[in-house]
Amino acid sequence: MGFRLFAIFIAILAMTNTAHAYIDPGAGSFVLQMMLAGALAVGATVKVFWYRIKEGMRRILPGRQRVQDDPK
Amino acid sequence: MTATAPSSFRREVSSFRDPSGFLFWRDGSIYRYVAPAYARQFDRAQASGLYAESIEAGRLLPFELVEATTPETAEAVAILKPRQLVTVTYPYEWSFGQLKDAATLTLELHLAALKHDMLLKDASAYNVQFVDGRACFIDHLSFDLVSEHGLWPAYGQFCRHFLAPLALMAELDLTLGRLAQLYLDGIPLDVASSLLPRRTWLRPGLALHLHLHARMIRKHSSSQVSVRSLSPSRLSALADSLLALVRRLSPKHQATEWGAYYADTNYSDAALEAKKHIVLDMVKRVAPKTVWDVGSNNGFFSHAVRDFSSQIICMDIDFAAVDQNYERCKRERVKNVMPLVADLSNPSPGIGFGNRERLPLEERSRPDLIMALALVHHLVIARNIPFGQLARYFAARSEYLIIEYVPKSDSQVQRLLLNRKDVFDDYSEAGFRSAYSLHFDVIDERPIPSSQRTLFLMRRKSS
Repeated sequence: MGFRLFAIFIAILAMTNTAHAYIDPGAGSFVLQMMLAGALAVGATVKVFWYRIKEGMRRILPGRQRVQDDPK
Repeated sequence: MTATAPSSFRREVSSFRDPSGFLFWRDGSIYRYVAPAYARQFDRAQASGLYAESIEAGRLLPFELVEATTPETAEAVAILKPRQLVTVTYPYEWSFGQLKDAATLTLELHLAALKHDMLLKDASAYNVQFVDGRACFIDHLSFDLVSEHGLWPAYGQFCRHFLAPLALMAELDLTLGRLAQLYLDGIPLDVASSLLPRRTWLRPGLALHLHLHARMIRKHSSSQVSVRSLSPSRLSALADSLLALVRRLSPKHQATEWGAYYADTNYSDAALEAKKHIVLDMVKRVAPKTVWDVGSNNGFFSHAVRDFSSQIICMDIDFAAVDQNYERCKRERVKNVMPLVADLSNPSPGIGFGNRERLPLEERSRPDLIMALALVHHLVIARNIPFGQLARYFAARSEYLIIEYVPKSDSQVQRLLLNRKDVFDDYSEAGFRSAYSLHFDVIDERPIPSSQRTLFLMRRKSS
């Protein structure tokens, strides 16, 4: 999570430049969330897949069987 | 929402920003007018079950629908009578834990709304109050349709109202929570960014949502932005990221003035226990509805008497002590103790438009008993407030007073005088009695065993 956010941060930082005196709080917040939301959603998807891969590995590897929540 | 109101229709003076509706008073109760402009949103929030599930989860203030009975409200789509609040408090009076819980609640409610294709269009910290000891969202008209916005319109406001003060309190100093009193619409992100230590750039969440956010606001200050709509799942990812960040924020250990007060007193355990019983006896005699425990520290005495009053407001200047009190209230599920950061020598003033948007604490709560335990020597000696002025202040606000007199020979007073000239010639028991006798009659006085201190129960003189 931390590394993903940091990578996004570096990428966006490279796109910013100088400041202006007058501040309208709306526009910058909109631009940033357009940049962030997509990347965070991709990150969340990757996280789900990574979790599934880890779960799969745990099932395959002997001696590291996951305890089932619902042992029917 | 103030504690008092006239008997006829009156618009709440602080409710004027949102075209979706407004608050008004009628017969001493507060109501919410839902304007025709908010009809679609109100219907969706009702029909989707968002209101019901949020109320059920304790996140949203319960309300009932009532009939419009005054000409001023005839056009309403609906009139809501929300559960009436006992005392309104403001973010600059909350400890770190209280502000963090309010931030978490706001994000959870926004995430819940996104599941119904709605969102929170406002993320003002003033939309949260503490009800029965828990953070609760009070603005029923803050929900809007995702399709009306495309992006989260309250992202900047959330960061100003919650993230900036929490980060400053966690990374620098707990007392920076008071900055919210200066910046009514939240701490500007460029101010927060410049105050925060450079090392916070290495925390990815703060780097993105606060430092970079501040830069982006500056960069696009005069730009026309073409908005590209985000799906609810992308908006959820943004809110999830903020939620994870807020949950991880916690104050670094900070030595506080009073945080360990009860471990650093000149009381023996027996004296503390005896004092507790005397205070309990006195409170039982008064049977107060509302108590102010001023200089409450971590609320030790408030909790000792909490079964004998409907509401106790604990005030202390120390953020860590107030946080300790709040954590105890949460842990023990206490509903009638409200810990607040407040300084009696500089109480919350009226602020905002016309100084009436946010009211002084004294206009939001009227005690019938004030407890001032182990406090007077601090105000008289450390803050130079004379006995007489303090007695007049208490008498103007409360019928009953439980006050502890601490003589000059007490080691705590000696500690206060350690590095200053003793100019307090009037500081004596005779001076104390004389000043208070102008405003109060002493009903009871009890020396605290194993100490030099005395507890007085007083009643205001009838004028």
